[in-house]
Amino acid sequence: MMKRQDYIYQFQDEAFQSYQKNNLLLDVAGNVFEQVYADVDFKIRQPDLLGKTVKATPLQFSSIFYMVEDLSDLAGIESPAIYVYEDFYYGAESYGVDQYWIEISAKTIRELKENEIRFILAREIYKIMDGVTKTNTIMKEQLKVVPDKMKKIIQLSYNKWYRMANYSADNFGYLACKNIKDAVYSIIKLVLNSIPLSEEVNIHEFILQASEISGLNDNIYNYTKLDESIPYAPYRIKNLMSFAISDRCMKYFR
Amino acid sequence: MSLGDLVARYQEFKYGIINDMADSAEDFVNDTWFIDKGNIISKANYYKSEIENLDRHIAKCNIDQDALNNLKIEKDKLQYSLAYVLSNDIDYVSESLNYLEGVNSSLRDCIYGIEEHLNGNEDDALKLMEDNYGYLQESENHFLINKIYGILLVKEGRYFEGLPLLKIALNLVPEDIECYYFLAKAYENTLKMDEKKIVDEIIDLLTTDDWDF
Repeated sequence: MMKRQDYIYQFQDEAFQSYQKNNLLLDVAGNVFEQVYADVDFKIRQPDLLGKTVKATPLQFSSIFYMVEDLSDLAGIESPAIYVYEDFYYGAESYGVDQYWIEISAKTIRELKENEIRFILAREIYKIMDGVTKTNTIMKEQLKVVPDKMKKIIQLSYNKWYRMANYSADNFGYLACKNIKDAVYSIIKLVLNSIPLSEEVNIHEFILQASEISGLNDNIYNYTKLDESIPYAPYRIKNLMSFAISDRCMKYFR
Repeated sequence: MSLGDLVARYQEFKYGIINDMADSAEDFVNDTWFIDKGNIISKANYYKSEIENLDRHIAKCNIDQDALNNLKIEKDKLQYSLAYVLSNDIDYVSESLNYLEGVNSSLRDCIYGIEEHLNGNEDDALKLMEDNYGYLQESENHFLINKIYGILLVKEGRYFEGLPLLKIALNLVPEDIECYYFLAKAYENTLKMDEKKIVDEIIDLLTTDDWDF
């Protein structure tokens, strides 16, 4: 089993402590949101999942089912349910607070390589394992009731932590798929939502876009950047390459 | 309260948050430690602006000698930081030395080492790096010094010494192909073939057929 310290993004835990300090609702409301989610939202979602998507089992989308079992074993967690739905976009996302599941688009399964799918699913397995999915689910519940004035403050603090959790997810995904090219192209395909477009990308040139983002530095630019919950793709690729040559990562390749 | 008043109050509040959150410490805005031209220019502009502010204070401060000395010390620190930031990019190496004029520091001598390397004087470059790198403050945060020194060591066949420096450089600028090339060479010559394979995969990902080292 992989050790958390071997893939966790450097500043993530500090950012989470900062988010907890900024989110007063966590002190005031305690487990209320978690309970409401379990009692209401989870139950609202389940019939739709079973009625409008295809659940991966040993007899349906079996390769995906066994892939998730394998990844769950790697992470040391119970295998979550997997639901496949039709969509225009590539993507997969995990949900839940104590009973978890992953929703993945059929387009992802149809068009991406097996190892790219492995990278994408591994990211969600990490999020479930490390409590990111649970925190994200509860956060979405909170945003439904929190006053507007508090929302932005909590959101910006949360986004910072969630961006870092996504870097950790990428690191874990890379360790699971063991191929830098598959990991990088998974990110590019998800961002561009097109294989022909992805084939046009020159990776080195694409990464240099990060420098242009860094150069955009005033209050409005910075606010826009802070308002993103997912890191921009050029930074994700830089992080993956930096992680790939680190000692803590390379030991899994010897 | 009219609708116009409400909108104005909301805008004021929204921009208040924007100003508070986005204009805060750089640590909150930046998630990563990576160095690129964009953030070098941003940081350099910030330091230059702070130095200009200090110069204005120094110009006004002609009575209190202690206060004047403190301002000058503050200015020296800012100039050092500015030189440190600028010297991370080949295009600004010469400019960085302007801010270290008259200053006897390991940073200045390491930057001279970069210049010697760029001019093809590799023996002189290596000597300057060897004599000064160990005394450099925050050596683990400087991309170009670690890159150049690492490359020079690998070229000398000192692979075990060059390896960690190239990794420091790549941790800061993960897209530098020249660093990867020399890192691969160091791994090959130290028989770390699993590590070399990973580096080769990254080189393959970053290069097109007509890449010129």
